[in-house]
Amino acid sequence: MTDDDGDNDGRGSARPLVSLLVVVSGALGISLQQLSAGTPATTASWVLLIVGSCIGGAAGILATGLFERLLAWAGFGWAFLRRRTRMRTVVVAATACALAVAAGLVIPVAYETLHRYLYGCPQPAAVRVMTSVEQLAAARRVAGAYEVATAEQHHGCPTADLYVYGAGPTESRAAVASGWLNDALQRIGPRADVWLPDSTLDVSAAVAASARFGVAVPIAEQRSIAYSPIVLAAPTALPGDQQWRQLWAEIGRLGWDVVRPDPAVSSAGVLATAALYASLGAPVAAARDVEQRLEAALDRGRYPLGTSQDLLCHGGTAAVITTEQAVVRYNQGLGCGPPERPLLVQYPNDTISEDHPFVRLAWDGVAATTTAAAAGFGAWLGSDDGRRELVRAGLRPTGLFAVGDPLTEQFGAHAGAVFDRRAPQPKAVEDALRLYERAHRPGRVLLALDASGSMQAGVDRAGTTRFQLASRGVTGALDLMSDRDEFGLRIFPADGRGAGTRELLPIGPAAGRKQAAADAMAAVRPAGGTPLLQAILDGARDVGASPGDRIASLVVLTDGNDTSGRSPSEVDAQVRGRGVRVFVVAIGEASCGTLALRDVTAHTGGGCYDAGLDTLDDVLVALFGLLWGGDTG
Amino acid sequence: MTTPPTPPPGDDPPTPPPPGDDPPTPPPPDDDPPAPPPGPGLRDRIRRARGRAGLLAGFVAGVAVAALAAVHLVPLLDRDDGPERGDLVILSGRDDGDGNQRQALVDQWNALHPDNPARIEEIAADADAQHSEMVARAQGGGAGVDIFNLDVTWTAEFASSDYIRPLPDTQDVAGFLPAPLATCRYRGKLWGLPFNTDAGLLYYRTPLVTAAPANWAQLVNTVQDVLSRSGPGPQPVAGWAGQLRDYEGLTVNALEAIWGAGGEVVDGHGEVVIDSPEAQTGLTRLAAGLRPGAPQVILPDSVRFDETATTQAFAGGKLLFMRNWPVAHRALDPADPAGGADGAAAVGFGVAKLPGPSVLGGQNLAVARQSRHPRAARALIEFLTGERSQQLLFERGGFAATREIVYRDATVVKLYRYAPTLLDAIRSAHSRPVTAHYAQFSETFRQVVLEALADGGQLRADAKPRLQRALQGYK
Repeated sequence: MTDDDGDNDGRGSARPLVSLLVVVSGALGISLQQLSAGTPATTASWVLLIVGSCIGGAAGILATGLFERLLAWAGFGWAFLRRRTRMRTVVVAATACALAVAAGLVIPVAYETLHRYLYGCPQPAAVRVMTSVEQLAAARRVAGAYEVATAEQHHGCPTADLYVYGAGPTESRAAVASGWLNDALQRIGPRADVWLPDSTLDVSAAVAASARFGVAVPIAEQRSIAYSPIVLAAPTALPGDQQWRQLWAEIGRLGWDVVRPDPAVSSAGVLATAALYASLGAPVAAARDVEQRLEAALDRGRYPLGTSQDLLCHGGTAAVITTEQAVVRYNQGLGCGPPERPLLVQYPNDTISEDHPFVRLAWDGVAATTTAAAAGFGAWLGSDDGRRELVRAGLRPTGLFAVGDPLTEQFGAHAGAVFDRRAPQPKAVEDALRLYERAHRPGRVLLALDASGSMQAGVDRAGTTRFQLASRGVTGALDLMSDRDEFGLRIFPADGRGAGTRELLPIGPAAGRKQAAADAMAAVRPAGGTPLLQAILDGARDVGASPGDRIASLVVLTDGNDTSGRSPSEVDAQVRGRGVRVFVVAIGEASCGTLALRDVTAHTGGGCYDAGLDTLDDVLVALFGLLWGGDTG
Repeated sequence: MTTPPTPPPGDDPPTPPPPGDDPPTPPPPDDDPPAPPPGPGLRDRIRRARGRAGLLAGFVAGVAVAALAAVHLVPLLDRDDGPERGDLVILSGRDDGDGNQRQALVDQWNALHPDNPARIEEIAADADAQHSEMVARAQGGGAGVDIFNLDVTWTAEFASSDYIRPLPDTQDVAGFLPAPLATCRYRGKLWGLPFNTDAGLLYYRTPLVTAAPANWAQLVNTVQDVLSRSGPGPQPVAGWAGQLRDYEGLTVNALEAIWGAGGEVVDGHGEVVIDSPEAQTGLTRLAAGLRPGAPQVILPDSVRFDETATTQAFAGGKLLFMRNWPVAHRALDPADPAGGADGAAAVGFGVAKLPGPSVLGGQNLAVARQSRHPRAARALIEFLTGERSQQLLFERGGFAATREIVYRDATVVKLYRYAPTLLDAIRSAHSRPVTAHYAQFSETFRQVVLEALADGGQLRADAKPRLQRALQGYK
């Protein structure tokens, strides 16, 4: 090797630099090309592609230099040839650049096309989207439109697969605030990459709650995408340009019943309360007056305690305070078929709006493709296509955007309605909710627990029985009672013979009775059949009609089918119109899929809830949250 | 992959290094000899070139030896078949069996394998929710997941997307039922082991029905016969109900209707063949049965039914026949070991095979690609799908076993009188179309079926191309 030393002229010593250049420019070129992989969709990616290819080409020139030397080691004819034709350098450089550009253009496309041809579409990125129960149907539709939009840009192959699910306001806030523990995964759903709550208030509440958990909510993006004002929906038009205060007086003068979604389960209900109270400048007495009128209308029309859709689809005659979107979608026949009586939207001029934020959550360990698809969804929602789709869902997109169908007279709305689009002040809403807690009526609840033989079945290896699990859930729900509430407890069947009911605690003031209830339940040994319909009949009779100042309700928790042999239609007829709301919580083999249970409960303004063994606590807490007059938190 | 790639052939050094040269330590690539000097004598050049050729040969030889060693020797030294230490996480849907038997088995594993404590991370009950969460985790590098509990229809997607690892060819699969095991295979490789299986059964009212029908025509005849007269117990208002609500249940029931008529939706070559007269017949039967009539063959309400609602309708005596999974037995039979029903069952019933092939259900356990404990995960999968575990899962949890021997067990047969029927049904069950885009396919198939049912069972002309595109994942 020693005789080679003399060859280390200027070019030789420049070798490390050359190698470095090869590496750097090669890497740069390749990464830029990678950036633009796929058919470039924007001008920017076209520029990236061309520049990247040119740099790749430059790398090629340098590599050619190296290659040439390698050749020179094996045989030196090339060097000789090369010295005679300097033009070659230029030609090689130009050719390399051109080839690289062509390859940069063709290879990704060719590869994608070939792959698609052989194996079909590449798998889309999974994006988990959580929204409110009220928005679920609309959000699914919008998400579907986004998937189609991505497919249109990629030869029919969607690049995002959005799974959209709905969760109640309380549980979704808790899930986000707690950093999505495994518990939330099981009880609520997949860890959301995108959260579409109804109002920015939900986001600020979650962020405030997260401080208590010591968790930082990883919000990567948050902005309002669309609005929907809180409005009054009535079959007949009222004079326009009025304040809530004036409308409320007008309705009273006309003698109309008016109902509002329950603030415990509905953002629209919360905002409606805030709008009304604010306009009335509500002192406690005025708030109490508002609540009494709403409660009386709910009872008279046997409306369920629930969401906007629950009220609208119930088909009563009362006017409904809810969002413009809910009314329009109802008029469109979405959710519960063609409307019996189309409703007209009244826009009070001092109303507030749901501001529908798009919240992107950046959890650890999420694929870049998922993040990109989630961000892409957000961007698309702000594009003209996305905003058109939001209008189709009954929302008014942010920014200047002409709204058309369905926000038109055809579906009871006014496209040009003027309303305040800002998110309401959190302080004002909190004040309203505090007032609401004091103003709305307390509960009078009779709980009938299934103590049939099947409740003795084990649910885990520790030997916990269904009955014990139910008792635990009930005890937890009793925590939500306020001193104003009344509570009673009974079991069915009365004994192992399988008939009748047995009282454990008579109905009475709730104060200090939680322990008594727990003790009484601990002494129960489940046995016998399931006289479910008999228990409903007896319970509805004993709880007594709603005394006006309380929500009278019967809650039946059961795990099986009726064995009392009563006819469901007879029970239905006897229970209906008693002023008692009947709720059934179905676990185990019981199911709200049966028409009998659905009908009996629905006709009383109650409801039937399917609960799994792991969701029972949540269902009970949510249900009792509706019924108790105490703080809903 | 455990099989090493074959070494690059033919690069071995034919020429020994020239004498006096250094041992063939490969010089770093950058440190190569300088370029030929400008214009020395030809002989000089040849001499130098030869020296360089020797150097090059030595370099190549060194690289080849190193490569061979890396490929063959290092794995030998490194080989360790023992399980890696560390926690194992199974990502799964909710355990809807009795008494949390899966957790019980995992507890047993944990007692026996303190170095690999396992836990089940459960996702909400909805299958779409499970799919979304599992795919998102897999795409995001599978953070902390060792084993996926996959629905049988997801194997293709997870395998083709490299979310899971294939099992070695030496994997012992003796004793598994062929049909469930087949759902673990994709493109010639085995991607998991079957955890539990499932097949639809025909429940029929006794004593109103004395013999189970062997085909749809017989079923309709029996319905017409029985519904026209009154018998003991509550009088049925319709002949049959399945799960016809717009969810996976509709896919399953529509496939079975088509198969029952001798038709097929996707053939063995991945071609959509739903336009055959037989397939058409299957859909026409559903549409005709749903049409109001006396007697009513299919309960019209069943277009809103899921599994539970169907069971309730049957338990309420409204139906003569019901298509449902074995799990419905629990809710109907007071003697069922799971003990769901109270007192005497409202209706007497028997269980038989469906009049045609059933859809094969169930779940497979697969090792996550990103698992840091693949060998331990495989061992856990073998434990959970082993004979003893399968026996316990069936006997105490009600999960249909994936191993034949469990169905021969005296205790199981005594506890589950439908076990032999179920075994028969599983043997003749068919898999749903295998595609990496199953969700897309199933959704499109349901649209096609719903459109057909709205039109008397008549398929639209574009049904075939739409399904063909959906199989490939096109929207």
